[in-house]
Amino acid sequence: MSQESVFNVHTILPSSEVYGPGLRWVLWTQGCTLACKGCWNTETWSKQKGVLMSMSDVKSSLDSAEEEIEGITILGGEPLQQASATLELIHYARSKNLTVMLYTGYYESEFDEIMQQCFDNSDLVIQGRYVEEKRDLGLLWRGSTNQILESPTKHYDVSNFREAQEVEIQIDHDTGQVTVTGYPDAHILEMVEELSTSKLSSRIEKPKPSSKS
Amino acid sequence: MSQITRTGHIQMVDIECAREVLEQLGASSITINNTSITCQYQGDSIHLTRTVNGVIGFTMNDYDNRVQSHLRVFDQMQQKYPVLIQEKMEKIRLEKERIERIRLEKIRVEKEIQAQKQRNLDELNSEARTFQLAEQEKSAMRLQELEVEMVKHKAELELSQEELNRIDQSKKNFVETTQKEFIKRGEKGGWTLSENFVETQRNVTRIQFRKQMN
Repeated sequence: MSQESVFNVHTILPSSEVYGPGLRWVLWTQGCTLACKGCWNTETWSKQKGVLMSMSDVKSSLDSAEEEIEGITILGGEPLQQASATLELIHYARSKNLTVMLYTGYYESEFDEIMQQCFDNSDLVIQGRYVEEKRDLGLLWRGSTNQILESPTKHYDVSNFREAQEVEIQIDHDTGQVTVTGYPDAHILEMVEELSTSKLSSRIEKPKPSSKS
Repeated sequence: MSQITRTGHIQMVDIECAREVLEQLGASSITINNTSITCQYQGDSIHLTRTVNGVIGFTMNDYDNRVQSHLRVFDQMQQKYPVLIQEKMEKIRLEKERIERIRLEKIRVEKEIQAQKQRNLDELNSEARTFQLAEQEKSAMRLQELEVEMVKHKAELELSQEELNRIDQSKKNFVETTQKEFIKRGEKGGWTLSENFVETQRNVTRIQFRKQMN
C-alpha cells in the first residue's frame, strides 16, 4: 500500500484576493532553507514547526472552500522543498478546474524534475529569491524587482496585470479576530494595532507566512 | 513583503462580560464607563481602555512598571472571557432542554388526567372511587407544579437569551465600527478601497485596499 503524502503546512486561508487573480484558497507551506536576507517571515523557515497534514486533509480543506474560488495559491516557506506534495496538490486543483499560482524562491535553472513539473503545471508562477536591496512594495504579488511573474500554462496573459500594492483585512464576526494579509505598509499595521485588543506591540502576533521567499 | 498579521483570537467587546470576568477573577472596586474600566486586582490599580470600536485593552509602554500587573490581569481575562460566553450559551442550551422535558411531562400528565376523567366513577366501589379521586387530584397538582416550573425556566431562558443578544449586538457593533474605521483610516493613508463585503460562508468581513503605482 502506498503511503499518503504529508504536507508541512504553516497556514491555510480559505479565501483571499491578494495572492493572485480572483478569489483564491491559499496555503502557506512550512519550511524554507533559502534564508533570504530581510525575510520578514522567518517563522516559516523551520521544518520542525508547522502542522503536518495528510494530503487528504489538505484536499478536504480545498473541497470545503467557497464555490466561487478561481484557484489556489501555494506559497511558503518554500513549496518546492516539499515538491512531491506540492505537485499532488497542483494536480488535484487542476482536476477541479481551478487555476494554480505558485510562489517559489528558486529559479528555473535550479529545478529538479518534480520541481519542473510543479512549474509546468502552474498557471502563474513567481520565481526567484527575495532580494532586500531590490525590495519594491508597489509590485503586484512580488516583493522585489528581481522576482519573475510568468504563466507557464499560458492560461493568463501576465501583461494584463497592472502593478499595484494590495492588502486585505478580514474581520471574523464570531471572534473579532482581525487578519491582515498581502503587502501592508506601516500605516495599515499601525491602524490594526490601534483597533485591536492591546496597543502593546508585543501583544500582536507578528508577521507569519512568507509568500515571497 | 507579504505577510499575515493576526490580532488575538478573541476580541473582548462586551463590557458586561468583562465585568463578570473581573468579578470572577476577584477584582474589586470595578468601575466601568464608555471609555474605560478601572479596578483593583491583587493590590494593583488596573486601568483598561476601550478603543473606538469597543475593544477592551490597555495602552502602556513596555517599560512602564505597571505593565506586568496589567498583562497578568489581561491574560487571565482573555482566557476567561470566551469560557464565560461558552457557559452562557451552554446555559441556554440546558434551559431549552429543561423546557422541552417539562413540555413533554405536561403532555403526559394532561393525557393521564384526560384518561382519569373518562373513567366512570359510578361503576367503581367506594374505595376505588376515593383512590381514583385522589389520583386525579395528584395529577392536577403535578400539572400545576409543571406549569410553575415552565414559567420559571422560560423566564430564565429569556434572561439568558437577552444576555446573549446583547453580546451579539456588541460583536456586531465591533464589526461595523472596525470596518468603518479601517476604511476611513486606510483611505486617509493613501489606499483605495477595492473590495468591501461580507463572506457569509465564513462569517467574515473582507476589506481590500489597493495602491496603484505609477
